[in-house]
Amino acid sequence: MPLVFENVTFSYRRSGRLFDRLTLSFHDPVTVVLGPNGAGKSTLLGIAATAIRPDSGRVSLDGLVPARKRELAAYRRRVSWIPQQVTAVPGLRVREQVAYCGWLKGLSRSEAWDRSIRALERVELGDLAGRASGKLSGGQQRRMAIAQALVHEASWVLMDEPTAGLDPGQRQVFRRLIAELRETAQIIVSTHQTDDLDTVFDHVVLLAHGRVHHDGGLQSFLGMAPEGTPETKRAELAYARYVGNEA
Amino acid sequence: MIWVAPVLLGLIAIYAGDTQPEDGGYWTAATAVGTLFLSFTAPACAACAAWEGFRSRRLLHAVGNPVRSSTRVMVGGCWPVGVLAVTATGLVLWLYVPEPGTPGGPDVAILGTELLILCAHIAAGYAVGRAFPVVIAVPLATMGSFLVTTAGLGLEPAWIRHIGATNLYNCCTVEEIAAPEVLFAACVFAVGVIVSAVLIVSARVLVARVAAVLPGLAGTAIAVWLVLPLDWEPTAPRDLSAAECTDGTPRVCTWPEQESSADTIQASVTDVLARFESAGIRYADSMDPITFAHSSPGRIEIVATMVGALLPTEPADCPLGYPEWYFDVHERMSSWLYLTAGLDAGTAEGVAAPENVEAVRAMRSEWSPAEQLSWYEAGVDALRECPQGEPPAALRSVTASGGPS
Repeated sequence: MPLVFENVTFSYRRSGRLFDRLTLSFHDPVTVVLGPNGAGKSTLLGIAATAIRPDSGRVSLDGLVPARKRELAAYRRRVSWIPQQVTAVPGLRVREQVAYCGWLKGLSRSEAWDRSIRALERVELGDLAGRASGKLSGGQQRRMAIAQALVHEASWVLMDEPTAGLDPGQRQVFRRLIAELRETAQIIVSTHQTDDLDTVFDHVVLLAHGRVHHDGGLQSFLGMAPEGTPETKRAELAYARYVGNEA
Repeated sequence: MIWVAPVLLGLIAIYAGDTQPEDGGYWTAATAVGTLFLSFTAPACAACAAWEGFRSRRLLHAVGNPVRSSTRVMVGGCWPVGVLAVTATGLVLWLYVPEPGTPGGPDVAILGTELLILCAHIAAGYAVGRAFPVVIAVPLATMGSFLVTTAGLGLEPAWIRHIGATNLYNCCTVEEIAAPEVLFAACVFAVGVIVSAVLIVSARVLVARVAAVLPGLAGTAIAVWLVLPLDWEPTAPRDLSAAECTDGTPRVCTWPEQESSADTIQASVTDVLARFESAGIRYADSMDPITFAHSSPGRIEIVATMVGALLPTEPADCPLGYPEWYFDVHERMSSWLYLTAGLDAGTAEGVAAPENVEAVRAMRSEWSPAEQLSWYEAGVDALRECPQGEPPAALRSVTASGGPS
């Protein structure tokens, strides 16, 4: 079930054109969008989530184009988006916030409430379900944000810098979550970190200044590292090579 | 919001003890007095809605691409505030509920208008909460709502009071209803605000947000146009078909709320009529039916109403105004009729100036009944026209200069 960008053009009013007739297709279970700050990763995911409207071109999900109200709702039901900035809502407990997000994604109140605990357990926050969401640590809040995206069981989950601010233990939870989630959903993760690349992702899209520099399997990306590079450094050096070329 | 509810409901309960409706035995008045509490309820609801608007904004940001429409999210965020508004309105109504057996029920038109106004405050508060940071939104919504519901009471012109229905609290006597123009205008104003709030919340770009203010402005303009011809009173006469009227002259009508006092009213009316008749005073055949303003009118109100029906009302259009003696004569004649109707001087002084009562009391003791009747009839004739210059000779002896000569 591919998520396809066709001739997408997008400009920011102040900084000018970012994407110029961008065409891209996501079809692997877990894709990472790599790139330095300002590359357009968040905008790409925002457009994929229909939170940002392109100037021209279109995005489709398995042929479903979110052009009209009904199609837009159907599209959004199938696509979860975790924005970069995590938001705790005052006065809500963790489970309430997750359930509310499920309701916003189209679930009934009771359904959202029932599913919220399962989503929290998947990110190992089940025991904190009754805590005020604002009282969670930064890493816990990021996991809560992931639970918000999982609660309505979308077929695509878009994660914008999901590991930013996570300690090594929490990143381990994240890796386990991705491994489990890939069984039921397709995932796109944006990041500028290459640490977990070879253990988590199948497909790499490398973006810089709004242009795609690499769009292929993980191994072909890693193959761009200089010969003789140790296994643990291949992702980092392949990335550095692309970014270095762009610079 | 959980702590706002007991504070609001407590304030209402406390303040209700200090405020009485225009007529506690009339459902319309008992319902209308509730609009006074909009000063509490509307700002509290607006503040809570602003808080919910702020939380909705954060939740929408957390989700990023919600399936629910902005309007649906607005309704979802505001319904607990709506429950608070309905609870507060219900409490006010319960605190003023008339005695069992009072005919009719709550005035649905007033109640509906009140709730629609509260909806407008909630919608506006929510929109403010969506647009501004919470530290600005909550105080802004609270103060704005308070000013609209309270400051209007002290401002001129009258339409400022009418479009918010804030002037309804002292509506109505049993012979009145809330003016339909006022209720309709308040509803139009409220709907305009609600539509604007919904459009502001749904708009994606700044231009659309600015344009979304237009329905609110249009609603305000229509509401002002509707109430502009009205004076300060937000009331209209009640349809006489609801009353039960006697045959004969004068026709005396009692409202359903006066049913329990009907015997007392009838006895007083019969007594007053007999006294007037013995003094030679007759009601004109063409006179409008006599009705009483309160659900349980006392002897004084009955006499005053019947006296008021006898005396000519001021000619509507006297180009040169009225000479000073016009009002002196009017007051003396009222006082004379009070005493003729059987009120003792002490009671009459409660509704007329003591010097007038004293003057006509002296006249009654010194003049023959025929002289008094002649003076009364001369007075009626004089007051019916637009008099100018000196008073007719027959009236000079009992003008402001003192008692009968």
